[in-house]
Amino acid sequence: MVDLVFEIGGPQGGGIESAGQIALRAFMLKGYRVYGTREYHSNIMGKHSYFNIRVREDRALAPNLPADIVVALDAESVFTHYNDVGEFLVYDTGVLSKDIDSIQSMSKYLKARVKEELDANGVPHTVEGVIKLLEKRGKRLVGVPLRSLLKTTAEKAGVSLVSISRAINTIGLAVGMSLIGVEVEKLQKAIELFFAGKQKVIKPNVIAAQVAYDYAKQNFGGIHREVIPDGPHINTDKPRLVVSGNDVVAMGKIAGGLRVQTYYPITPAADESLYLEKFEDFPLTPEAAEKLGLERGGIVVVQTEDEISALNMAIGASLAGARSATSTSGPGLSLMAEALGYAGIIEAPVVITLYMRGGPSTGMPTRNSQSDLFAALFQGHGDLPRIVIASGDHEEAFYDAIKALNWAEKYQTPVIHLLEKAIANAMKDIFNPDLSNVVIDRGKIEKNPPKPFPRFKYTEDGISPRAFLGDTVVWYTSNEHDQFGRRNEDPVERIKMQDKRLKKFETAAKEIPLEDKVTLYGDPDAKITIVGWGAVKGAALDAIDKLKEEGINANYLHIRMFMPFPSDYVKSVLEKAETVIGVEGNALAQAAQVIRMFTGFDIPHLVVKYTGRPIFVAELVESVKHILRTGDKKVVLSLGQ
Amino acid sequence: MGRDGAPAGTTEKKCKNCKYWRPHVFYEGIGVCTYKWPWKMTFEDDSCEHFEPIKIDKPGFYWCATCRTRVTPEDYMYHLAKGHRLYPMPYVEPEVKEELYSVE
Repeated sequence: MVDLVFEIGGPQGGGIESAGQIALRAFMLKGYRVYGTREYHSNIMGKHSYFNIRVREDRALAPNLPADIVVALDAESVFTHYNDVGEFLVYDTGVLSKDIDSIQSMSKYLKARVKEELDANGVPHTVEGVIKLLEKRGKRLVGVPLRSLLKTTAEKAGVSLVSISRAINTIGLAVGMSLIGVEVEKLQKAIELFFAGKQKVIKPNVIAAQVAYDYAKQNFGGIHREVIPDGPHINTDKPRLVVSGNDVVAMGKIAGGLRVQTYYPITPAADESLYLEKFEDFPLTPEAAEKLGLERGGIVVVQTEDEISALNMAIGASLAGARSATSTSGPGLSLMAEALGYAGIIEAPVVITLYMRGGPSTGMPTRNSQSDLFAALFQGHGDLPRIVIASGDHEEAFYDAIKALNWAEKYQTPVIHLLEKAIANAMKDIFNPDLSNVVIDRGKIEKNPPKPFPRFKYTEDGISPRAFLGDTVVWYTSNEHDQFGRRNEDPVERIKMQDKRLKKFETAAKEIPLEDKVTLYGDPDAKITIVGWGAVKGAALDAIDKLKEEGINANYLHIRMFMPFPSDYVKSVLEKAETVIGVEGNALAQAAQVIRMFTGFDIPHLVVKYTGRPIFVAELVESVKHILRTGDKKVVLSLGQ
Repeated sequence: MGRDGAPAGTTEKKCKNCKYWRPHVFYEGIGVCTYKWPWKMTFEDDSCEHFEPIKIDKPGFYWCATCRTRVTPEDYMYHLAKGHRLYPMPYVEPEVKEELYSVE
């Protein structure tokens, strides 16, 4: 089975993004599933960035290392990724003499580690030294004169080639693709797809691809490695999209009937709102137009002055009857704390999509993390339950975005939808979403509200019918209130009102199906259970497959809802296993602590990663084997730059 | 010593020493000639009859191609003394924003 990793690195802004995007499309045209992880630095321009692309036949859900092919567009990429090389390194022969100390943009800590390794192997601190080291390791080294091929491209294109990065990246990419037999026509088609409508960019890049393929053919016999065959998804009639996690959440929100999105720009959340801004006015399908009596739809997207305003504005929209949401990341959620409490006490339906990045504080804005689980669960003061969900991949994220909007309105509560940067920024192919089962459930709405209106009426299930501002007079106060919303501190009424609010979550816990809360993958009778959440899913599913190949039978318990928590089911699965290993992308093992809080089960073995990088399949497999071998309680992962 | 370690007054007539040349902001050895529009990609060791030597002799904001960073009037001498390659500005491609991620 084809399970390939293709990595391309270079200076941030230097064409790495388009190279990665083109590569994804080329592999899709070849018939494969793809998953592209982007790593970039928070200085925005010039620092090192790279794209790690996983290519598989059945599913591609997680990054992996080593990479079968590493394409290094500059010297820094060679020094940064030589330990990622599984088989091929494609490098620029023009930087062979480059000394690591002359690269100012490189971290001094990484430099020190690299120099230590080069010294230990008796090679100089240059790109040439690294090449010698990789030769010793038996790697296959493909030197490419990037500048010379760039010149040839410019001559053949016959234009003033000033999009230099976008020709260099294509040359590097094309040489890498040629090594595994992805046809140049597929790469050229991918270029056309990615740069659709930009003929001035397409032409030189298509030529650059051909120049690079011709060079590879003349100098490396065309193909160095076993050619990957056409994949199972070639020429099928099932259309696929390639989307980021941000895109797919935005798509889910649109499908889920979102009407108002507010935000203050923050990494890695902002791209979701920028995507939604494209849909402020769009034509409805004929069916929808007939049903609604409208020709066009639209979502109001507002960039507010800060995060508190973003949530408060979303709350206001919600009270006026619009399905509303906001999106942010950890520092933004910190600022939203007061408004979150307000939404809780006035029972305002609102969705907060929370993208997790490395914290605390500004932390590592462009790096991955699962460290905001506690914040999502416990942000705000007072007895303030909320619904908290976490998606494990792009497909889950799409449908969870819809469900979050439904649950917010049905249970009249803030819903926090957690995603990691590892999903937000990862590009993945998905089949066109199935909308046939999508239901928009707006919960209890009083269409003819009396005056005065008991907005917070005591009910059996704790959920009071809502009326929208403008339909009647409704009092909303952040103070404790009576059934009509009027301020009230009577001790007996306080108990009733607080219990009413809490009762809603008992109702939600009963009504929300188990499959939306937790999923057990693999053999239910396996003696080893890996438990995780969020993007751990991708690495864990691959890990249990790899472990099975080695005779180790493990299953994976994937938690999707943390509040209300599926305590009984989780406890039953964990108690059944002989060995339980918790896997998380944070230092405190926050989910393990939450599991203990809700079930009393203490997870005995932990695998954690808090480098800001995603969990790679290979390191997870090794860590599980290590625990089984040694019985160690904790393994800290650190793979990846 | 002049910039890039070359002896002062013995500037080679190459793009990298020409006042019309802007080095690429990321990729070494590549740049654009701004002598006339449309600008043209050239390499640092290319040369032509329009060559005019670059002069970095006054305090100012410069681009240090060696460090890939902007330097201030206060520290440009430091870079020159170390033999770094200074230019009035680098060449930043117009599409660079499409290659960058939003970071807040």
